[in-house]
Amino acid sequence: MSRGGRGGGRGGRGGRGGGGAGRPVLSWDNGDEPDARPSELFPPYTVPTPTALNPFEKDAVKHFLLLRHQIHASSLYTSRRTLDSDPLAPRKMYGQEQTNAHYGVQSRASQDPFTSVPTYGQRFVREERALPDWSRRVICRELFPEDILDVIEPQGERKKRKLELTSVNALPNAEQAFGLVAHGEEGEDGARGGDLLERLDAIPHEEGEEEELEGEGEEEEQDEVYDDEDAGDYDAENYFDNGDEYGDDYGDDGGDGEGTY
Amino acid sequence: MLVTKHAAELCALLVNDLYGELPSRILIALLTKGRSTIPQLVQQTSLNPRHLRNGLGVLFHQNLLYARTEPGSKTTTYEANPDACYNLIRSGKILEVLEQRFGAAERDLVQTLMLLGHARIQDLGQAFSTRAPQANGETNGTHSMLIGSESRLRSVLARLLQAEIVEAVRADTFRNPAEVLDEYKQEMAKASPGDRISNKDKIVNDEKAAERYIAFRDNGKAIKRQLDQTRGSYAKRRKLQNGHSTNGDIDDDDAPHLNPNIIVRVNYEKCLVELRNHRLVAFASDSIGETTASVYRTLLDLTTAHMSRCRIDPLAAVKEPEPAPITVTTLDIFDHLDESIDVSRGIGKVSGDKIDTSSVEKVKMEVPQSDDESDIESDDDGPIPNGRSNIRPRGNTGQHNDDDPFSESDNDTRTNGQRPSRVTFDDTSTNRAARIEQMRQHLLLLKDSKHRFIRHCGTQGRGQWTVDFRLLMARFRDAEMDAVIEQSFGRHGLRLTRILRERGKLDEKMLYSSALMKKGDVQGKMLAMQMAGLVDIQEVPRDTNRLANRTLFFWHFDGEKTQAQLLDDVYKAMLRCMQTLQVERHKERNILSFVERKDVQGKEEEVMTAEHYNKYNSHLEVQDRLLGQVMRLDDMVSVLRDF
Repeated sequence: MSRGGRGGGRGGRGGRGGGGAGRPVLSWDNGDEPDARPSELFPPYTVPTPTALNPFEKDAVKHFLLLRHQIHASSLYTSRRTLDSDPLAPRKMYGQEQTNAHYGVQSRASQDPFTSVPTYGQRFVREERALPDWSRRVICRELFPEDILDVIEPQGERKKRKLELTSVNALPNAEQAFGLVAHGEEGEDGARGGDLLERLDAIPHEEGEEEELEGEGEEEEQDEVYDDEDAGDYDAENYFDNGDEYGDDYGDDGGDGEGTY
Repeated sequence: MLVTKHAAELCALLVNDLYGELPSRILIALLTKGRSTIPQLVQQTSLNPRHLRNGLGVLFHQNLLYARTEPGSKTTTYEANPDACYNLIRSGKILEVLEQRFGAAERDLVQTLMLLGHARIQDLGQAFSTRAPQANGETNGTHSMLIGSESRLRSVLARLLQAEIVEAVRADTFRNPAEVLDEYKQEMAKASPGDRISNKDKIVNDEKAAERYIAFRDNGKAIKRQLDQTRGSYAKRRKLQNGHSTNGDIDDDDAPHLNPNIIVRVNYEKCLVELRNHRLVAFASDSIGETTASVYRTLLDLTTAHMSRCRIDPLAAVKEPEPAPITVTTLDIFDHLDESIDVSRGIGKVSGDKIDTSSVEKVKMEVPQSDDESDIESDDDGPIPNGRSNIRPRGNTGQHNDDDPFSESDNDTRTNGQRPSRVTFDDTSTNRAARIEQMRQHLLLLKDSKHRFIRHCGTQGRGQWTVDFRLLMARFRDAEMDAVIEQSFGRHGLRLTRILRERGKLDEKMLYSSALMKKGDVQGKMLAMQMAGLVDIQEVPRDTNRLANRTLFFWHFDGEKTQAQLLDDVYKAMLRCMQTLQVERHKERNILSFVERKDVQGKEEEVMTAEHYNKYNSHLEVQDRLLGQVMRLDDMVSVLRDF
């Protein structure tokens, strides 16, 4: 790149002195020195924004997501780490061991004893299958190769299975998942889309904002729920506030028990 | 499909997203290591055989594998089917196209088949007839159109079978077609006498093998042929029903008898034909107008009714020459055209003496061999050089009563400038002859467009029309590549590559003199494009001592290489979109897993907050946008690779 030397002129000192033959005259050489400065690391770049999806694309995405949802609800879907491992964490996938380490994230041995204590809420989380459940699938036996056939449908149990269609036939959109549609149907107002915002407002807000909304019966119930949660089994402040009483009781009972402790 | 690193990763990620981790893990091993048996896979993945068999079972069930059991031994070798894996991303689009083309019931059935992989007709019938009526009113009014009885299922299935959207499956469908062809070739070689096989024999053998291969491939369509014989072909039935609005009003009593033991699955090759039609119609709609596009839609439906795949199967190319172009007559198209389409819209009017009829009505019987400029020039050699601009495509059907907005501005060279620019549309003649004539104008528009959507190839039945798909799609591909080059290297880069494409290899001096650009600019652009791998230099020494100044340097542009590279770039972009989606899902994992909880259904309002609602909603939007982008990129892949 710096063949021209510091002189910047054609050929330069180094070229002429060292080579002897000099620089050959080439038809495409226009005498300009190439720009050897380092280029900008992040040159200015206008990020293109895609146009909004047209109705066809929207419907296609919807169909794809519905199909995905149905497959996930079916008995063949297996997953062990779907959302748990951080996709942004650096991965080393050079050898087989490292690859396996990447997969075998959830197992008895790798459980974190501090977070894996079963909680009540976990009972409702959809169970994650490590292996597909073939017991409810209808198998076309003649298609499958023999060596996987005995796993998916053991020879012993050849009772007649019945093909079941999926029960999932709609995508859970935000309105349904958060019960907004149900609200609208119960209420007197028939318009479903228009008062969406109102219903959104009717949803209980963050715990911090709850004071503002006091007065509505529903909100009070909410408060009770949260109070209950906050109270819990062990309440540090109450424990020490009531400490005097306990102390009094204790004193009444034991009298001069202080000396013993 | 050439499986590059990014394509393999994309396939694995798609399978991971849809079917879970175990199948995806096995698929990666199969894609990277090639054909393997179960013991080999045990070694490669360190999974235990039980897990492995389960995972393979899922992949097999969803038609994502090729499997082959040697007749003598009991071991089976497995091989990934990258095309099938890639097609997963198209499922949404295919379902939407099928819903538009056939109706909700057909879409529902195809979706069920996609979900199940493959299924026996008997089981399907039993499942659909016992399906519980959807109690929750979540479906939006399509309920009545869905399949509720076995006879309805059979009639819907028969329609799809006849349209080749659904095909029958046998045990050997799961073999790699390339392998099947190889086996046939080997058998042929064994059968032929003598040690050395002459070249001529080899060709004959290859043809015979290809013939057997075609028979093998089309075996699944036997049921279609059978149905065609008993029910009349699909195109004929459509003609009776006249147009698109065929769903819903089909009587169930014409349900044919189908062998209940036949196993069916979705035929993605034919689905691609439908996708291509959709893409072409959308393009025609953009470049000419909606009414013209709907005429085009009818024409495409007719011409592709018996086309089972977009391109010729490369494996059978020896025996299967390019099929003769299917022609349709104007009257045919008219009979199939939806009656609700107002064909008088979307065309402008000029007086008869301004139109060069001989040029407009010119019939080209032969498939044009090349696509270069000389062809176009010969088109324009008509008596009036500007004949083309006389019929002007006026796409905007909404403003046809206004002043024709393009009449003065867009075409300075027009010969009929003194014409009053008012266009009157008061003749709403609805009688048949006028309608046919108007529809013909749309066909002429399609023919005369610079994209040459159709070719006028005969005069019978008021004109015969055909579509040269190969040339049309080649133009599409070039246009797509041009767009990419222009995006990344600007107009000048595009100009230089186009010059190279047209002229072949060029010396630099020739290049900048024909591009009318400065030497320095040309050098800069060419270097940038060389670094990106678009263009390359060939050195031709003038004598034996290869001195630089005694050497010629030629720039050249390798279209195929660029296309392959572009394809890989698109795979990569799709992969990144899907990965971004994974990251997004990981970010919102708490809300997402909460929404999936079983106890959420009843008491959401007690637990959820507006903040969570907003987060969930915005996540859904991001997901839509990302998937939409992936599908747009897939459009590009389709054009470059499949159509």
